[in-house]
Amino acid sequence: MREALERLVAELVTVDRLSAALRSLPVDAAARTIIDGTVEGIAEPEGVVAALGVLSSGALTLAFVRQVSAGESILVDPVEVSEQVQGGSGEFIYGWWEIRTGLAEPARQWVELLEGRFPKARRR
Amino acid sequence: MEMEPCLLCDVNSVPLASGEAPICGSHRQQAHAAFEAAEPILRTHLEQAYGAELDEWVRQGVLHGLTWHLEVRDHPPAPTRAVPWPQPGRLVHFANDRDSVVRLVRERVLKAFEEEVIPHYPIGRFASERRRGTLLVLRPRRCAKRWSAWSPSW
Repeated sequence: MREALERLVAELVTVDRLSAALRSLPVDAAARTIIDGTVEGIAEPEGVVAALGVLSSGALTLAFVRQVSAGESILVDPVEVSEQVQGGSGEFIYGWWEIRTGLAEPARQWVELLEGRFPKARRR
Repeated sequence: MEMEPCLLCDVNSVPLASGEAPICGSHRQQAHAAFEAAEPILRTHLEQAYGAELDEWVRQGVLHGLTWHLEVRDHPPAPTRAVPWPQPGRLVHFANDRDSVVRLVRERVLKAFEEEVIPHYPIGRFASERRRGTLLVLRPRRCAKRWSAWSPSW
């Protein structure tokens, strides 16, 4: 019985069959699902898009920012700002540093001090 | 009263034990308000700089470079004295090691077949069919259920 099953499975599962199956799976439908998932802020599709490098990091940041409604804050606490700067977060690399001169005091000074402390955030 | 450490009050202040830059309560409040006020500018900047790219990408619906990858987890390593707890097996990628992935997939399919078929397969019938030289035939579930009433459990 087992030998018969083994032979059957050996016939069913081969390198050629697996290769052919992988080639014929619907990539277009998967792409649409990943794009929609990225816009909705689902982590796994975002990871795929980031890994493929098909979208700039700035655009990915914007996709995230769009999920936050206008009434909600994106990033407002100075301590959180400090953490984001240290980690080189997207909002800083692609947003805050562009507008930091427009920040009111003491936020501008705080950012500039952090920029000096964490030069990683200046990378673009 | 001891002064609260703050990078804005004293640029030479040292980081907190957590690694965060120190900020006093008063400056934290003020900076908080300034950041909040700057958020619309940030949103506008991101929309202007990246809005067209993002919208066009979503509209086109293409994802160049996307393909299917098959990866199968190998058997978990045996616990050792150094690492006595269970660990997951390594992921084997079809693209890198086709033969190993085929072997693992065969093992999984075979195990599934055995669990599904053998417990329900009647010994007597199997033996008689083998005598007649009949190759194994996978039975539909409804038959298997009926047979399981009188077949011994394997």
